[in-house]
Amino acid sequence: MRHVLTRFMGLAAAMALSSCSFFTPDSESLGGLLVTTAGGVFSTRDGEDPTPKPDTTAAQKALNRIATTGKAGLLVTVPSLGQTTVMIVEQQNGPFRTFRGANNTAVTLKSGIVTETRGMGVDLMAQAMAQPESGLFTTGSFPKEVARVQRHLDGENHLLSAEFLCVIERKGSEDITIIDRKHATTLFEETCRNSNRAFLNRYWVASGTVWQSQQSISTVSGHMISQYIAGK
Amino acid sequence: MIKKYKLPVLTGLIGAFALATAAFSQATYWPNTSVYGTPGLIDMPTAESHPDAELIASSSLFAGIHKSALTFQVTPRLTGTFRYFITDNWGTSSNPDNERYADRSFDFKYRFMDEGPVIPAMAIGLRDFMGTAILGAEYLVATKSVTPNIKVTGGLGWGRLSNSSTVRSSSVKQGGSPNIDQWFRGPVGFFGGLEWISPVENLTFKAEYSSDKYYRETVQRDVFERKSSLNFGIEYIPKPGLQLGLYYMYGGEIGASFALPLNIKTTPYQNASFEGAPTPIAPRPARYNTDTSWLNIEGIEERGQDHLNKLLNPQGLLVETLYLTGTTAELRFRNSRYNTTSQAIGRAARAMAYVMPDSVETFVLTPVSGGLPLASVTLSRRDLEELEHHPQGSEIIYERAQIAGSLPQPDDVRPAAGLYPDFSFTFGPYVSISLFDPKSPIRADFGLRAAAQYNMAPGLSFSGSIRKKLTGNLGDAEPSGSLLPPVRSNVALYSRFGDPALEYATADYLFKAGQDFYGRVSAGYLESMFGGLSTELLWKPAQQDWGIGVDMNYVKQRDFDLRLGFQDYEVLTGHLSAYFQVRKNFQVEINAGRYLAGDWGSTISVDRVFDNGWTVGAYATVTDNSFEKFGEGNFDKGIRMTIPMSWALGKPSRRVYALDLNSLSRDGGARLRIRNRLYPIVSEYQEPALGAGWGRFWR
Repeated sequence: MRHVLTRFMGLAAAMALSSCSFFTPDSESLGGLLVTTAGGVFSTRDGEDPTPKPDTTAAQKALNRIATTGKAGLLVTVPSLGQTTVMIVEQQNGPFRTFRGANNTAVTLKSGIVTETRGMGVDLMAQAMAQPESGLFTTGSFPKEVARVQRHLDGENHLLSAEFLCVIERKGSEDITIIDRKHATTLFEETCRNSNRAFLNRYWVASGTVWQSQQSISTVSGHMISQYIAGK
Repeated sequence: MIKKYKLPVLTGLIGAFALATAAFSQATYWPNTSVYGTPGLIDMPTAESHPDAELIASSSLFAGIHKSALTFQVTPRLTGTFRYFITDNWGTSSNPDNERYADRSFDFKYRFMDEGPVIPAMAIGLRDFMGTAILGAEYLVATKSVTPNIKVTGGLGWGRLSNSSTVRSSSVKQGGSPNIDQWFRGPVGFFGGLEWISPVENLTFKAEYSSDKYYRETVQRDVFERKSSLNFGIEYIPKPGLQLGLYYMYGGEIGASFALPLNIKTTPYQNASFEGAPTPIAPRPARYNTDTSWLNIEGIEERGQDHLNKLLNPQGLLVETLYLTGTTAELRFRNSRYNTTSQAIGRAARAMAYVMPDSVETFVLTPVSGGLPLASVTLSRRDLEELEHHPQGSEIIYERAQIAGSLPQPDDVRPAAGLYPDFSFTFGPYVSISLFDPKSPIRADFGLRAAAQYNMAPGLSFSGSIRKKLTGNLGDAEPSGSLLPPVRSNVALYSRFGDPALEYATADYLFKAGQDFYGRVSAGYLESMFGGLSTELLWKPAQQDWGIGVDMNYVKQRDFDLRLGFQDYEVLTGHLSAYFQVRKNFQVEINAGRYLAGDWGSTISVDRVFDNGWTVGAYATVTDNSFEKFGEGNFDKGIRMTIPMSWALGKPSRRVYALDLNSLSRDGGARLRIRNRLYPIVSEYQEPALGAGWGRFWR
C-alpha cells in the first residue's frame, strides 16, 4: 500500500502547475443554468467518452485548475482498474461533496468517507454509517465499533445491500505529503466484516479532516486511494 | 425420415457457439452435465437442477451418436433443453443406404422436491416428448447426497429408459406434436448410479446402471454393440465455465463431452459496468427564489433545450421538446445509449436539476421513441435533492414517482432545432444464417447491406434497406413442395434470385391515438417476402403490466428477384394480441387471427425477461390447417433469445443480438414480419420494465 501511495504522490507532484480555467457555474438569484450565463462547463463535457480511461494530460490540467481556482480536489487511484485521476469538487449537496475526474469518474464523500463512486466498474452505489461520519475520528474512544451498509448493483441491475460491523483503531501518528504540502496525521484502521466478506480501510486524519484514505469500493473493484487537496 | 448431414459442419457450429458462451462465463458450475446436456450422471438423468438462469451449451459423442444441446434453467425447478442429434450407421437391412439420421428434440424436467436431511431431491422428466421421439423417454428420479462427496441417484424410466425393447414413435401422422398418449406407458425400467467428488479439486468420478437398451441402435440397426449396462466416467472442470467428460460406455465404447455454462444473471465482467458519471444534482438553497418571471424571457424554451442538450448529448440523450411553466417542466427526450430506461430518466432528471430555475419544482420526464411519447415519469425536484445520496434513494424515489401515459403538449411547443427532418444512413456487412434445416444443419449468406432512414416529422419516417450477397448457400435449399400457399417455404428462391435485394422500403407513421392508445400505419415493401399496407393499434396504459393490440394487413407476395414486382398471391392477414405477465419476469404474448397462408389459428409465446435485458423464450403456433397440409412439424414452434450488448460489453448500449431457432420454414402459422411492431417499442419505456431496472436510476 505504501508503495502505491508513494508512486501516486510522485505522479501528483510531477504534475506542473500552469494556468487553465475550469468553470463550475454558480446559480444566480433565480437559480439554475437556464437563467444564468451558459458557461464553458458545457464545452468541457462535449464529446466525452462514456468509458472512463486514464488521461494524464487532462488530470494535469485538472490539478492546475485546483491551484488556480482554489476549488477542492481529490487525487484518486483505483489499483484494480489501473486508474489514477485528479478530481475537482463539482457539487455539494448538504454534507455530500461530489468530485468529478477528468476521465469522467466521480466520487462522493461525506466528511471524508466515500458514499458513492461512479465509473469504477462495480461501483459503490451508496454507503451509510450508523453514526455521523463527521465525528467518526474525533469523538468517542478507540477502538470503537460502527455499523455500515454498502449497496451495489448485481448483474440484473438490482440493488443489493450488505451490512458490516466495523472496528476502528487508532494506529499512531504519521506524516504524509500531498502535492507539496505536509500533513501531520493520525492513522486509523477500520476492519469491516460480515459473514461473506471483510475489508480494511485506512484513514490519515488531522484536525478532523481525512487527508488521505484507502477505502473499499466493492469486491471486484477493490479499494480506492484518495488524497484530499483543500480548496482556498 | 432419413437425412444426411455433414458432421464437421455441425460440430464447428456448436463449437463456435460454445466457445463464444464460454468466453463470457463466470458461473460456478454444479451439478455436472450428462451426455444429453441436462443435469445427470452419464447417460442417465439425476434429480438435480442447474442454478437458476443457467444457460449451457454442450456437445457429446459416443458410438457415432452426436448430441449438441442448449439447456436453460427456466426457473429454479424447471429445466428445458433443445437438442440436435446425429446418429451414424442408421441403415437397416431393408434400407441400408441410410448412413446418418439427424433430428431435433426437446426435453423438460421439473424438480418437485428439494433434498432434505433424509429425503432426496426428486424430479419428473420428459425426453424428446414430441414428434418422431427417437430419444423419447419419461422418468421419475431421486438424488441424495449420502456424504458430502458422494451422491446416489435412482430412478424409474419409461420409453427408452424402460430397459426393454420399447421405442417411442410419433403418435400422429406427421411429427411435431406432443405424444401425450404414450407418456409414462408401457414397461418400466430401473436406472441409477453414483457420483464421487474426488479430493482432487473439480474432478468427479461417475458410475451408472443404464436402463436404455438402445434397441433401435443395437437390435434394429448396427450402430454399436451394447455389451453391458454399466457406464463409467470421469469429469473435470478446469475452470469455471468449462466441463470436460470422458466415458467408458456399454462395455466397449469411448465417449467424450464438453459443456459450457453461463449464468444470465451475472455479467461477463462480474457485474462491472463502465460508463461516465452522471451530472450531480445541483441543490437549490433552502430559501430559493420562487419568482417565475424568467418565463417571459424570449426564446426561453429554446435556450433550455440548448442547455439541456449540452449536458445530455454526451450521455447519449437528446432533447425532443421542452415545455415550461413557472413550476413545472416537461422534458421529452430520446435515449440512444441506455437499455435500462430508468438510467436514462435518472440522468435526464439530474440534468434538469442543473438547468431549471429554482421555481420549477416538478419535473416530467417523457422518453420518446419513434416519435412516440411513451410514458411520463413525474418527479419532485425536492425529492431528487434529498434522495440523491440516501442509501435507499432508489426505492424511495420510485415509490414517490408518478408513472403515467404522456399528456398532449400545447401546439406551440416545438421540437428542438435540427431534430426534423433528419437523415441517417448505415452501411456494413451482413450474415443470414439458417440453422437445423431438415436438409442441412447450417446454411448462410454473407454480403453487404446499406440502410437509410429519413425522419420527416415526429412519428413520420421513410426507411429502406438494400443488400448485395457476396457468397452463401441459402439459395441451395430445395423449392417449396408445400400444399399451402408458399408464403415462407420459398426462402431459397428469394435468396437465389434476390441479388441485389430491396429488403424493405416503407413509409411509417407512428402516433398516439388516445391517452393510452398507440397507432402505426406502414406502407410499401414491408419485408423481404411481402409488401402492402399494415396497420396496428395498441392499448397499453403506462403503469399497467398488460396490454391489447390488433393489427390488420393487406399484403401481396413479392417477386423472387426482390425488386419492385409482386406475385399474384395476396392476402388479408391480422391478429388480435394480448400481452401480459405471469409471475415476475415471465412475459406472455397470445396472438389469434389469420396468418399469411390464409390459415386461422393462434400463437402463444412465453419469454423469461431478465432485468438486464436478456430474454429467453419459446413459442408455438397452431392453425386450422390439416397435418397433411402443414407438413413435418404439424404446428410451428421455436425458441428465441435476446442478448443485450450492454451485458456482453460492460458498458451502456441499446444494441441487442437476437437469436431465433424456429423449427422449420413452414407456410402454416406464418406472420408478417413487421420491423416496428408497437408493443416492443412501447413496453420498454413503461411498467413493468421501467420499475424492473430502477436500481440504475442513480447510476
